[in-house]
Amino acid sequence: MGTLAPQVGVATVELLRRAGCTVGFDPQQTCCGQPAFNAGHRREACRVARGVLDALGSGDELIVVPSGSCAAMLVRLPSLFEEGQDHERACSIAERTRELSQFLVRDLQVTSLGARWPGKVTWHDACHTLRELGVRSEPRQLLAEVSDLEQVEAVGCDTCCGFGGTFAVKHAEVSMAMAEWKIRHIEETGVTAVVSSDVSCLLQLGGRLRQMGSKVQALHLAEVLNTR
Amino acid sequence: MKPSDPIVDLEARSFGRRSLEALANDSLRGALDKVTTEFAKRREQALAQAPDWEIWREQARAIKAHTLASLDTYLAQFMERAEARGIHVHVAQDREEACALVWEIVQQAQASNVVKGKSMVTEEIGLNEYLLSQGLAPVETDLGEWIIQLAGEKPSHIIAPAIHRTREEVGHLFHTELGVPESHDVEELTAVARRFLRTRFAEAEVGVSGVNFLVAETGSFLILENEGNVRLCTSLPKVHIAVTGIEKVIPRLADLDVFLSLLPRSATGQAMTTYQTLFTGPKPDPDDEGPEAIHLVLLDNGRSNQLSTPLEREALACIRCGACLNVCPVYKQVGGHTYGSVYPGPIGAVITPALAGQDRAGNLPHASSLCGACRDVCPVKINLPELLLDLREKGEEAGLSERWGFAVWSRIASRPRLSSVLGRGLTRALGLAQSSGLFARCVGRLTATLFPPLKAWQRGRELPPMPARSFRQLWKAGLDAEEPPA
Amino acid sequence: MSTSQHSLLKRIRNRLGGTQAPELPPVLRIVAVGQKTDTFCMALESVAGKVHRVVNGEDGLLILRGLIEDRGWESIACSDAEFLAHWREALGSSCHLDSRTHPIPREELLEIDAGLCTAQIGIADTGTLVLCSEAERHRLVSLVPPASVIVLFERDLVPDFATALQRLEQDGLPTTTSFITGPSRTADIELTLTVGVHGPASVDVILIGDPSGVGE
Repeated sequence: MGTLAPQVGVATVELLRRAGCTVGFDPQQTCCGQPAFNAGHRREACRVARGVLDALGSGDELIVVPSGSCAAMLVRLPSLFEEGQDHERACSIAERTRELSQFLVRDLQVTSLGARWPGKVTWHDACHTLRELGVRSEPRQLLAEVSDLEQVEAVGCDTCCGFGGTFAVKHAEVSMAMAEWKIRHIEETGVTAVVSSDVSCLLQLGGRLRQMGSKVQALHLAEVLNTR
Repeated sequence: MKPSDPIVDLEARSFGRRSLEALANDSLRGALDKVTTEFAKRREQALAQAPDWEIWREQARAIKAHTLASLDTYLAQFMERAEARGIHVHVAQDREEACALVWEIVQQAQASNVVKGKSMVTEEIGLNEYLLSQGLAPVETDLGEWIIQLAGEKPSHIIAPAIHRTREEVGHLFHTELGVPESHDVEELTAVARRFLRTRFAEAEVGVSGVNFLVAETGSFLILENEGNVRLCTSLPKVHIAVTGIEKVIPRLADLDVFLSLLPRSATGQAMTTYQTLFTGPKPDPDDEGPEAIHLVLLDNGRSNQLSTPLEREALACIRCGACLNVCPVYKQVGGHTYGSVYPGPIGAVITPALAGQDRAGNLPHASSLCGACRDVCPVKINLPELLLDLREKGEEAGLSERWGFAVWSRIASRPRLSSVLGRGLTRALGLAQSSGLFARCVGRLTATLFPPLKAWQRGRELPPMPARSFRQLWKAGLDAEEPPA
Repeated sequence: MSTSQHSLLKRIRNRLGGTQAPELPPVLRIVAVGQKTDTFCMALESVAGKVHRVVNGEDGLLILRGLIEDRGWESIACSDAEFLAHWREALGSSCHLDSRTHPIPREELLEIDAGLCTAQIGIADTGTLVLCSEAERHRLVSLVPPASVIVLFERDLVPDFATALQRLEQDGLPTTTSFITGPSRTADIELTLTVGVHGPASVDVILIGDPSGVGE
């Protein structure tokens, strides 16, 4: 995300500050290791995730992640590092990790951020955000408080977009068929944007939408919430 | 004669190729979308009437976890009690043994006609092909199974094997294979099945069935159905052969309550199937109704390979409801045949490697986006995504280039400065492909072709505009310094 | 125990490797509440069964005659239930008794229009009839003919499946226990529901309320 969609990180930082938080970022972190882990390469995943242990393992601040799948991976770290100090640090990280909307609504108890985004949107429930973190109502509550924004539910809003890590390239055609199925239902709603908290989903859906020349944009929740 | 290996036909490894065929088949995709949506909807409706659903699921999960971890004890108890009731219990280690056993019983019964109820296990062992090779043509009597038997196909769904076929296709099939006038009316087609199969039930000497549950406490077994064909197969012929996997055992008769509350609702949205039959031995008097003998074949065929850890044992808890298929976004697009296994979808991906071997089916766990929808609906709470991950880790599917790719990637990605620099370089190069100059675009495209994943990605998805600066750069350039507003 | 049984168990034991099994939870009984008779009727009718409530056996026979006339049944296969003796007599030649000493030949049974028998238990929660193989000879009679009439006594209604199982265990499990919930059905073609496949296409339950349950 830092490389491909930095605007999401920027929007996240800005809106967290607007909500009254002091925001830090440790440039030592690179990646949570999920792509390797999901493909079955545990050793490689650990090698990469160790950087997260080093960067974030000994603090006590909450770790806000504008990506459901990464947050879910961080929550899983204790099962990757099962012993000793590594395990302690992993547990500490897991406890302090929050997906962005989860943090705003449950920890900060804030739903209104003074945002304004005129248009009709629909929310896409990213798999990890929904099923591993249990986040379903929070993003919808946040979107409901954005002025001039109309929110509609699309059929299959909680069906997988087809990214799935290496699946998206190993089974590219099936992955795209899954994206198209969702896009059909998204376009039925007449929205101008599909919003999600997962950059992978946005790359997938957005990528297909762009290829199809669709008018529908794929936006990150932080970008919408940071618009005034 | 060694039966061919039907559980995984030789093409299981070409999930990729078959998925392309499936995706190009509009009629199939229409049927799949309609059917999976409908099944899922019915399940939801049934659950809305079942406020204790989560309590039932947990109970079932716990019963299975206990039973599978003490499987030898319960199977021993079952076998002893079933035999005490007069059921002949046979054990088959693999499909060859199972087919041979069934054939022996058929020969002893001097049977030339065999009718069959729906049984995934008999598909798994290739029983029909085996019997055919011995000169006996068993007749499937479940409507969906009969349809695919006539069509020479394999089932595409655990619960509704012919669901990939439209009524027009079925009508045409009946017309071609049976010589009846072509009809596309579902009621008429069903009546054709009833008419044709009636006499088969009556003339068969042997009826073969599957089993849904084995009850250790009483030595009984239970079969569920809606059509009545299993009751006929197991009442009219003089010999009943039931074939089942060893994992189907539950401890107590009273445990049937929770499983029967979960299974029909998960499978078809029914509170109860039309018929359940509990078999606790053959008739006490030879003049009574029903078969003279009941034979039960307990099949291992690789199931005992999944007993070593609690996670693996979860896979054996499956009660074959098919709910995971109905919510799987991959299955929805490509259907059951693409998996090349008798057991498709999420549960298929998890048990087929154990039953057919890693070398034949190790690719199946990778045919998933790990979305987790299956885990949500499994009535016995099998952690399917966790099993898929476990199989991916243990398997040796990754080709050299993938392993090499991840090895390199992990060494780069564990070094913040290096990955930052390379990441920026990559986005710069890809950004060139998005610019207006022809030469720049060529460079950009070349970059993409150097990375096969990128190439595959870009076959149908356009990358977003490449950013000028990375988040790291922005942070250092001043984003870090701002204070929250007063 | 046979050798193959023995080696199966041995193989399983090896694979399990002495693992400590988690506890078996106590039995979970899924109990139903509510007025049994009403629940039974609603449940069975929701799956295309029909319930005819009568006060005694005589009224039940009237219902049966009505059904025979409405549906045009020319022949009825009847179980050897003692309760039905009077009914069998009243039906005369159209009634074919299926008994141990005089079983109905198969080819004949396949041509008969309707089957008549009694059920030993009724499950209110799901509208299910429970037929016990040793109580009467009704396995084929309730299955082969395209129409099924089943007599159930209100006193034999239990609220739920769990209670039915308890009853069955108490009385001693029959060799074959058939649970029947409505007419046979399939949705194997395009998920379109069709009633009446291999089993009966209609199920009529004559629910008799009189506690004595005798025909006269």
